[in-house]
Amino acid sequence: MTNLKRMIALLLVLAMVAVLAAGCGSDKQAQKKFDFPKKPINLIIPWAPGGATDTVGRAVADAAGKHLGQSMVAINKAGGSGSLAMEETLKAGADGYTVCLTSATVLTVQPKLKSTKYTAADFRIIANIVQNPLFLFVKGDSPWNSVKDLIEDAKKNNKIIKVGHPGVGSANDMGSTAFFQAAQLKTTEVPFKSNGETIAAIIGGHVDCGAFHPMEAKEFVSAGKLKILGVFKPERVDFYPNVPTIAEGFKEAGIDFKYKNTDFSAWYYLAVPKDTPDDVYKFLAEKIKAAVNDQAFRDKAKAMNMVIKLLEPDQIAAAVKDIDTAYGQIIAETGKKGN
Amino acid sequence: MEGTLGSLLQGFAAALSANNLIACFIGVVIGTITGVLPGIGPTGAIALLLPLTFGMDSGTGLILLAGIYYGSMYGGSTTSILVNVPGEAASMVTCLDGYQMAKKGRAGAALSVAAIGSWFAGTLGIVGLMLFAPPLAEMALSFGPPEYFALGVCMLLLLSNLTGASFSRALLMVLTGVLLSMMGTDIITGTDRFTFGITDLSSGVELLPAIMGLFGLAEVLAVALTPYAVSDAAKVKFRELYLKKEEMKRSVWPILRGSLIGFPMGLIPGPAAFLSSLLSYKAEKQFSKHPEEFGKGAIEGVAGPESANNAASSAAMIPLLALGLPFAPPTALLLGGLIIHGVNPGPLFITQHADMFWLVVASMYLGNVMLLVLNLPLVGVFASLTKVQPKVLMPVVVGIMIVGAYSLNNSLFDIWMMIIFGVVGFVMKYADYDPAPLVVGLVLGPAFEEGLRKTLLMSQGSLMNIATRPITATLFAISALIIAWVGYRWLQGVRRARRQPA
Amino acid sequence: MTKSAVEKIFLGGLLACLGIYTVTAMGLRIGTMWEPGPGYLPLVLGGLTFAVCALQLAGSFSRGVKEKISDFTRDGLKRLFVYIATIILFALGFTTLGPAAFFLLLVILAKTSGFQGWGYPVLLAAIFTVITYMTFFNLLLIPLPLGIFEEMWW
Repeated sequence: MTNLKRMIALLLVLAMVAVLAAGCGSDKQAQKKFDFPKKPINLIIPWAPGGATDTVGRAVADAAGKHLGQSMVAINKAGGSGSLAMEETLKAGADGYTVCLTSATVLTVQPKLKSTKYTAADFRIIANIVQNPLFLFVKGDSPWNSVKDLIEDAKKNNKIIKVGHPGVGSANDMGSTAFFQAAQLKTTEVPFKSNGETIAAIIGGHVDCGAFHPMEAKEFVSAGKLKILGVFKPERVDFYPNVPTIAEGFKEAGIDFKYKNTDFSAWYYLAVPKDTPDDVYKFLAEKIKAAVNDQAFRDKAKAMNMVIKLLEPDQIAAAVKDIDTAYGQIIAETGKKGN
Repeated sequence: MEGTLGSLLQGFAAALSANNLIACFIGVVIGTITGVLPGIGPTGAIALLLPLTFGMDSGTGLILLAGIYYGSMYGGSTTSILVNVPGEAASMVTCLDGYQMAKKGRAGAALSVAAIGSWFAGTLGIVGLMLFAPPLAEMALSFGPPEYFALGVCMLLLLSNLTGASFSRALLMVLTGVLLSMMGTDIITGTDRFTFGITDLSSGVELLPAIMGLFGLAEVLAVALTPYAVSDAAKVKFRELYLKKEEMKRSVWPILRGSLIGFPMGLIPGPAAFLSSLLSYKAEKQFSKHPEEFGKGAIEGVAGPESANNAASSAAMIPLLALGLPFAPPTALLLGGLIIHGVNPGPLFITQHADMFWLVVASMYLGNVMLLVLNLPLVGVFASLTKVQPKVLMPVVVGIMIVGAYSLNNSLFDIWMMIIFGVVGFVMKYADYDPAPLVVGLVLGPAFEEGLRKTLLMSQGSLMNIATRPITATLFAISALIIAWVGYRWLQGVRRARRQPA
Repeated sequence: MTKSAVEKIFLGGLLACLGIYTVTAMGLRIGTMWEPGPGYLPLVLGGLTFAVCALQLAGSFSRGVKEKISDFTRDGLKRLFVYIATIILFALGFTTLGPAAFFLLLVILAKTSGFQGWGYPVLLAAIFTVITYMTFFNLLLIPLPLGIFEEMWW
């Protein structure tokens, strides 16, 4: 018993020492100087672990840790199609220690679909990390080989197309909705929990088509299980030069794609609350840019088939405004609404 | 067949390199720890360690991450048995008999049978993965919304009265569970339902805080009310710490049946591991010669379910490796890890990256053996925890549950959910209401509701396609049989009651 | 307190919740049987469950069994009350007090569970708090709330 007591006493002493050491570790002399960051920075990821966004977030947190002088801790806050994470970021305060990963759909679509406690104006975007282009996919052995085939077949036979997507208001949903709205075709939307489940439903023949990013779908294309009909961008992409844009496909079918100038690719941004001090904001912007330019990060982005193209703040603002207008039009014209 | 053996041997040769062995070992150790700690599950642990594997060779990284995944299925039962706190959702059912065994001083036996069953089922699952991955993966694709709906109906009928308490009470609890599952954002329209303006509620009632409260916290509160006495006089002999001969005999068939139930369940998207353990429990109770022992410490009630959830977790690797389609959060993270390493698993993975496939398969065999060797000595350590006075153990258990619940989403909200469910669970205990049917309803609610609504959407408001699809037709035939059988039994009971006037 | 009294409390509470649930469901879009909206099943099942619950509550009144619960001793109920109250107070103060709230929770629970004196509870709580925080920050990289100790930790 005395042995046990001694052990416990020893443990306690060790513990106290550890606490003291941790407490004294931070120096409190340089109060006036710019000493950001003094502690690890939290990166809030608006989705559950495992998806494309999560993977991007973890990779950027890893790269940023090397440039910030402090580690960046990735924290998942899934819920409310991303809106929970945005609200948490605003709640955490504008001191620069809480940064969120976000996208145009989370910033602009969710506030349009339901009553959220934030709007895009509450945030200041630090940097655009990567761009994830959006493509329209059908089953590999589908009779449709082009956008024209799909539109003409559906019109002629008065077909109702079953569209799969991973959640109302996701970038995938917005893309496919724009497509069928512009083509004036009847659809049934069948939502799933993730991109993986949606792709499985297309390959399994339960739904007809869906819009995805190549990171999730490209292996199925090379195996012949999926077929690409077009890319939701004003111009073709480098890694699939033979894939026409959606607007080109529409033109073939004799229709003008009214969103032909809109880039439906998902941009992932890092953002902070808008009241974050200027010096902190500038510091973060500079370091995050350096992290994105890191070769290790570039390699990972390439493995995920994502595009890196760093923009200036005003260009980012213009891009967000662009997609916001397009999304607004789609939502208004289809009557898509959460509540 | 010869090709398989040759490839497997090559896989072993690669897996036995020092780097890979160490990675496998680290993975299974971390898996065991995260399994033991309630709340922190394989998803969290894989997410955490993912950046650490960035610097590794892709095969080594995958071995480590996969080790965490299947390793966590081993540890999950530990806290269920010792303190009635399920470490993972899939270990909920182990609470029912495991905790009762521990109360009778057979914690060691329960822990060892869980470890042995896990090892056997895990290994059997890998054999299945190795031999039949591609055809089985194709089968998983035939599961669309109508199949989910049929599965939901069938499972609700089969599992609602898991513990065999009063029918009307179980019915009320299952219905309440289904109602709870419909809280949060409706996946089909995006509407928030029953959130009362709380954004946290938009992701719905999460399973883990609910079962940690209903089982774990409720038990802690019950112990606070009437502390149990620890008698250290009864020293357990070393031989009796593990399985007695009779216990071993009784566990053989449950382990085998559990593995056979768990494996096909693992292929199905959704809460496969959880459902497979419940199904196995139900099956054991049905086959048992002494069903009255269930709920009071029957070893079959631990051996079967613990085997089933491990077989299911091995099988869940099949859609991932053969198709590149993850059907569960931890396998989704594994996929993310692979992609970031520049390996894209897809339908061609097994042919194009054969070396990596066989490396992972070989490392899973090795990892399962490591887990068995690691877990059996730990049985003694953990079993001795039942000798710790409740005044020491209970505060620590509360502390672990609280940080565990917090770490699920880094939010206080889950702690509140756990507290609410804990108090409700405590009241239910004294009102003679069983929490298991409530959890069954909570898990199967989405399969039922979303399945039904999507089926109607896809067919423009007709349920005819249910009869024309082979899987749904079979599942509904089974459901009809269950209803007919229950009705027959009920009629028999009525007749008997008439024959014997009271 | 008798078993049937606890049952009545439980069923009464559940009935109230089910009532609120069903009324709330009416505010959602219901749709039709062949084209159900988000409120269809909640309304139908909510109403059904409400009925089942009401029947059971009625049944519990007609049953005459008055089995006393021997567990509900005076001391036991006191401990139970302290446990629940402490855990709730902890949840309220965790974000502001951080490790101190965790420490206090453990001290009070340990003391309530029957320790004589304060020495052991304090020791147990201190060790466990330090181990937990160290493990979560350094090993698991999960930032537990620090509250007012935020500055001191870093």
